Amino acid sequence: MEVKEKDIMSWLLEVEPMSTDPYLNHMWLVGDSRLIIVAGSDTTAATLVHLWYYLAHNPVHVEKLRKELAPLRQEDGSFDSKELGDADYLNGMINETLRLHPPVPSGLSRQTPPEGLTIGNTRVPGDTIVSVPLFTVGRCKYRVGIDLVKVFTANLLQPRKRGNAH
Amino acid sequence: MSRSADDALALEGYDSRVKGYANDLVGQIKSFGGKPLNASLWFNYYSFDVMGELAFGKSFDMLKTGEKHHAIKLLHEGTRPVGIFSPMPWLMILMTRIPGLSAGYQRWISFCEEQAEKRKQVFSPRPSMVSSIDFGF
Repeated sequence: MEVKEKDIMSWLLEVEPMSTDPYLNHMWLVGDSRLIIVAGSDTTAATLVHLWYYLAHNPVHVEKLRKELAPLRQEDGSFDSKELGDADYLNGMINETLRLHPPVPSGLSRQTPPEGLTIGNTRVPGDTIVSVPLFTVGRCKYRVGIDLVKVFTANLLQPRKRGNAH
Repeated sequence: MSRSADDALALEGYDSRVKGYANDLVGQIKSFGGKPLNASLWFNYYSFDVMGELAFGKSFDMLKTGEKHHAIKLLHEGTRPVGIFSPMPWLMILMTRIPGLSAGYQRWISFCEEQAEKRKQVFSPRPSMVSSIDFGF
């Protein structure tokens, strides 16, 4: 095997070692590779499956997407990724799919800062492991019962902020 | 905050590499001629091939061969306990240490380790850098 172009592992292998202990360094690398494999593959597949499910069930979205994307199609049939990034309906569909079916629905473990954290009226002590379930957050009370098509439309009516999202 | 020029360049490089796989996927879907297909499987092929290329410099070639790489089975078996136990991280730690109960998870971990190992062995663009990263294995 020969690596012609830079891949993500090139960057990880080139940086300064995380520790002077070779075993710890090895474990950092193994941990990173696990993260890259899961986060870089299954999340995309699951999101595409869910998106296509809604497209198949609501062909009206297919029509609207085609209308939005047709003018962006280049002569060779490809698209410019920057232009796709500004396509509101396409991004609305993707964001709504992610809200309804987050690829990590149960959330990930995080540790609160030593001084603790106040969220709304809730006080979380310092150095506590917390997990925010994204599936629940995406469907919390004020959203439940709203028809998906209406949610798409409602969200799409609000123009996205551009240029400062990063 | 805006993306740095370096990041934008790096992303553009990835962009063209992803496009090839997207075209392969479209081509494969077209070949079904409108007949039903297992979308979960094909989207998995696509995302695994892209990930293999971008992360480890080598595609799993599932879109080309149409054959399911054993890594997909490993991933699904290996991440099932994560889905169940991640709201109780302490239980996850216990479960993964009980032999037999965590066989699928362990097979998955070994697969990831193997990928990192293989990739590490072909890493040799700058000898001075390699010698400074002494992994000791």
